[in-house]
Amino acid sequence: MSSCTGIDAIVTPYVDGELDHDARGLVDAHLQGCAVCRARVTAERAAYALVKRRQADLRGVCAPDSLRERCAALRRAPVVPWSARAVGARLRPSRSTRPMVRLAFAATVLIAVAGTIFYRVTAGAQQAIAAELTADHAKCFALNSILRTHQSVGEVEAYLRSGFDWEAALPEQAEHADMHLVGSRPCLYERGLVAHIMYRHRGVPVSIFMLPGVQHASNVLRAFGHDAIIWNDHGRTFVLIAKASPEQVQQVATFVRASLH
Amino acid sequence: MSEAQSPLWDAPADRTALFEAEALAALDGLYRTALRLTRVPADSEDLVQETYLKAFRAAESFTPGTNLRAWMFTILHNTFRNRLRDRAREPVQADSEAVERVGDLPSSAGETPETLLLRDVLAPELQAAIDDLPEAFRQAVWLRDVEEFAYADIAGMLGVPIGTVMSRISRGRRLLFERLNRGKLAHV
Repeated sequence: MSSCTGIDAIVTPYVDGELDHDARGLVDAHLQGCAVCRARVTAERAAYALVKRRQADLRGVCAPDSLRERCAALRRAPVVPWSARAVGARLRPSRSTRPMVRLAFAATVLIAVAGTIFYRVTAGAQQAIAAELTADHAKCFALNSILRTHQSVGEVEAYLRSGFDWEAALPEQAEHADMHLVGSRPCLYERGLVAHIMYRHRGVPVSIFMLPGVQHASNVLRAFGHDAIIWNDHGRTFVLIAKASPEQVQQVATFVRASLH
Repeated sequence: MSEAQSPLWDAPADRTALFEAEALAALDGLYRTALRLTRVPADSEDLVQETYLKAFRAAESFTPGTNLRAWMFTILHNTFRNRLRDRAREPVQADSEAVERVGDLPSSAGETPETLLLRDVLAPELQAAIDDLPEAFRQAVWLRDVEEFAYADIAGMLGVPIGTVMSRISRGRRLLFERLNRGKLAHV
């Protein structure tokens, strides 16, 4: 079960009905055991439902006709080319929004960066980690489907280098293996920061987490209906998470293990 | 993004006419939103008029195929913020910061009786309660639930990160719920 802060970022899209099935299940599971979040959702949902019920009335207020005429008349206003360009340069929401959204994207989850964090992990803790990373997997893909961000191989590699001191080489020509890169995010979980690389394999969300400085035994676990495959490479632990047939998960894991370094 | 893809945007004259018509179609929503910002009809009319003046002058910087309505709302909010700044008061900033420091609301919300009470709330009372919300919450809830913009569009309009938009929507709704309930319970 994820924590209250873990699901905090997706409660509002949950109320708005914008989450996919998996992420919704994640929030549902949390709500079953958390009265505080349940009360929050009840209140948020009641206010949302009320506004929706009265939305037509709230939108019934129209601009005065005189204002409509004045604004329409502005269409014929003489335009001085030079000043028009000056104004235009300041008013460019569609372009200025993008970097900000990307920053916000990171800020939503990235609360603290404290360098590489070393974990001590026992075998018994693996199940908890698999559950936690599966929750992150669902949450990050849910946010991604709302924000629709997409990063290139170069952007992800640069991020892994600067954020995790990891000279990662992402698989080349992953598309030939039906793997399409979505992007990367820093994910905070209780023992520190992990790198999260997201792909889609034939449309199925696939997460690869890199846990710096930890040694885990290789393992295959199940969490929330997902498969979690754990392996080590050059002192780093990797966890691959996906919800698909065993054959598909195995195929993806084999490809990633062979091509990601 | 490519202009050639849309036959609607072929001729420059058509393009201008379409741009102007679509921009003017946003008038009612802009006016309603301006009322939430200024609370004064005359100020709202001024604000909307200035928004159109800027929009028509900056038409060439609009990217065809993107959301023109969201672009107009962004100009409206930028203009409003600039006006406040011109008056050297900057209450928006102060208000927003104070708002982000507000802790979690009490979770006294029960499961049924209170939510049922809210069903009877009529539009004027709801409108008044929305207008009573602190500005940052008011704008987020209004733009999302009444004007139905995407989180990312609202983030662009308000000049805040998308996570902040979501948390303001959430807190705004809960605050609305608490206040309307308190009013209702007082009458029971």
